Amino acid sequence: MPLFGKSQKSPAELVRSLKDAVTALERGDKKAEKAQEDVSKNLVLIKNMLYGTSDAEPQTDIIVAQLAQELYNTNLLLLLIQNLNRIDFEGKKDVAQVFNNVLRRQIGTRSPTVEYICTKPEILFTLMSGYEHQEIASNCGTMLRECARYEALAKIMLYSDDFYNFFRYVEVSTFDIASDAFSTFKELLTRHKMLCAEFLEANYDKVFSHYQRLLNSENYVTRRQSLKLLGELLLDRHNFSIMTRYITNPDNLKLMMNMLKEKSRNIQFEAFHVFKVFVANPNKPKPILDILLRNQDKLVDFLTKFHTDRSEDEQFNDEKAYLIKQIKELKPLEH
Amino acid sequence: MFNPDINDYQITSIVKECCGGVAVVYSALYKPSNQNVALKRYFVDKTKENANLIQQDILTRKELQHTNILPYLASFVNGRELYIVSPLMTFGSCRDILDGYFQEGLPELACAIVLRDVLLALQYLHKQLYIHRSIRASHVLIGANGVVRVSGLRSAASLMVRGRRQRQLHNLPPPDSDNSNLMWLSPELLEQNLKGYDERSDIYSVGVLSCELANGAVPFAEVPTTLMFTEKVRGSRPQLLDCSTFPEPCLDDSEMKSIYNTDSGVGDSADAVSRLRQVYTSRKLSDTFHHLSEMALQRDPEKRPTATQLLNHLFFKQIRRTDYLPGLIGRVKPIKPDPDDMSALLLQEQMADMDIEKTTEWDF
Repeated sequence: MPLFGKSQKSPAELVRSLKDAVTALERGDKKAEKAQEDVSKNLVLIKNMLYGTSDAEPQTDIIVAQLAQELYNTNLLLLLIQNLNRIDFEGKKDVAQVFNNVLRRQIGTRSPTVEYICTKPEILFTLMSGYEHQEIASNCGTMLRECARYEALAKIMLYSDDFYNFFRYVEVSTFDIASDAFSTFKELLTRHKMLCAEFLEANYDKVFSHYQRLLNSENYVTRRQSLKLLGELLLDRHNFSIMTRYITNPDNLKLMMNMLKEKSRNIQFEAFHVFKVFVANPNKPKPILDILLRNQDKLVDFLTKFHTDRSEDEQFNDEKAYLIKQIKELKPLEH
Repeated sequence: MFNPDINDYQITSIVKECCGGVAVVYSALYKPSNQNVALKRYFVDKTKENANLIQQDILTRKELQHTNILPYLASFVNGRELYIVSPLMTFGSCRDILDGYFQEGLPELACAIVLRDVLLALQYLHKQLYIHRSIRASHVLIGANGVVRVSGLRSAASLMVRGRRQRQLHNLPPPDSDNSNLMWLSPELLEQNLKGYDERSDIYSVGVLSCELANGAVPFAEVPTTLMFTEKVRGSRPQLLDCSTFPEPCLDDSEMKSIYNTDSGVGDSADAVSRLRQVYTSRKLSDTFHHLSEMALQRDPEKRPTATQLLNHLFFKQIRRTDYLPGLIGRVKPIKPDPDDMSALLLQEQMADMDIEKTTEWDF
């Protein structure tokens, strides 16, 4: 028992007073300052319950279970996220930490919070729209990436219309938000291999027409990151049918050949890893073969001089030698 | 708010090159508000994996708000370079100050003020469950009004991992360009064993920093890495050099140098060495300073005081409210924004020259 002050509030009381405080903050009346204080105070209490402090261990499972149940019943998680921009600096971080802790709750093999969020997908959509607001973008990012680790939640996000907003978020002029959004975007497209492959197959045209814009972005970092991710996606064996589709389109080949001679060495190098797939394809469609044949000598010459300083990178040199050999041996189709 | 647009910033001078040549820090004028800022320009194309570390640095700094931690103001991409805007710290880092003006170390009172402010930053960081992992003089910056701010947050790690609180960490911080960071790290962190390390590892680094600030030279700088490591693990620790710890010169030069690291790194002539030696043997640092440094450098992390406990140390009682850091280091020249600084422009041109385009034209 603490010597001074009141005894500890129960989870239900805590959640109720936090909810009242956030609601007051949302109204924004003249009591807002007091509300701000109450929000911060209650958030810290809840956080300490979940994480413990330097002097105290986290609360027992029963208390944590009660707390989580109250959070679901009152829809407080959504309310907190909707009002995140109104909560003070430390409070925003506390919301993310409370959220991430509760999200990972498990009862046997069940994840009750994940199940709860599946019934309240607004939580995910509100978090995704957090990238529109500079002051909460990275707090939302931490919560989103944690959500993306759960297949059920990743699926909701991938298949939503809001997913296509990411193509805008990853290109915003503020680097920290763009790169945060890119990390989440990448997580969504790579974490759950089967889910991602199914999604990309079902939405190939829409996704890749958006993706094309990233590859042509004015922003160097966006271009480099998205090219690298493209290489990873195409070379992942789960995405085999997506890869075969991608490498039959001559426009894609042209783009990669142009990127091979971009100013940036990193972009050249990443483009090489996509370009090689076009060349290595044993069943090249005619339009692809035609482009390669028209540039046969130039390509051999270009690749021979390409990144010759990477002598220590054995795999790269083997692949390069293989490509040069393949291109030299190319012959027109006989029909 | 600072706009993410290069056209709003006018570069006024080069402060320094850093991060093993992949970044340059400029002073710049933020035109919309006529404010001087520091602009760190990363040549992202020159680096392979560093982009993640830069992102980490920004992410961590965005999570922190404290007078003694270098805030993050904005970041944006222009061309193949990434720019990060921070407040301009006009006196530069403590390492720059030691190299340029105080080879024999800072005056004790200046050390006290700097160490106190570093501990205030750490007190906050540790409360936020971060471990800094690269406390060193080059990451302690001094601003125009004497404000001390800690930078180098790219190496910081959170004990809060995926919604759970860790008691220890086990991994090494990301390597820097020349691995010099190891010299400030605690024995338990370097040991890489199952016990791991926690925030008290930073306190050890504060101990190394106290020697660095007072002696001018970095402890262990002259010792090979493996020897530095075994020395630390065995519990031998660097000392503040004064008449009580620095014996009358009787050893020959090289032996002396390797034991006491009197190599200042600049103008390592016999003259400079003997001058330094004279300074050390003729001065007396306070007993409380020695005590503070010893407490922080204890081999056993359990015995080391926390940042909060160290802040109550007697050593800091000598600081009066009127003590003004820039006054104590009066000979240090602040960075002067100079709009006519041609070298900045020259460098930009030089970078542009490197953009030689490939001449191959594809036939589509």
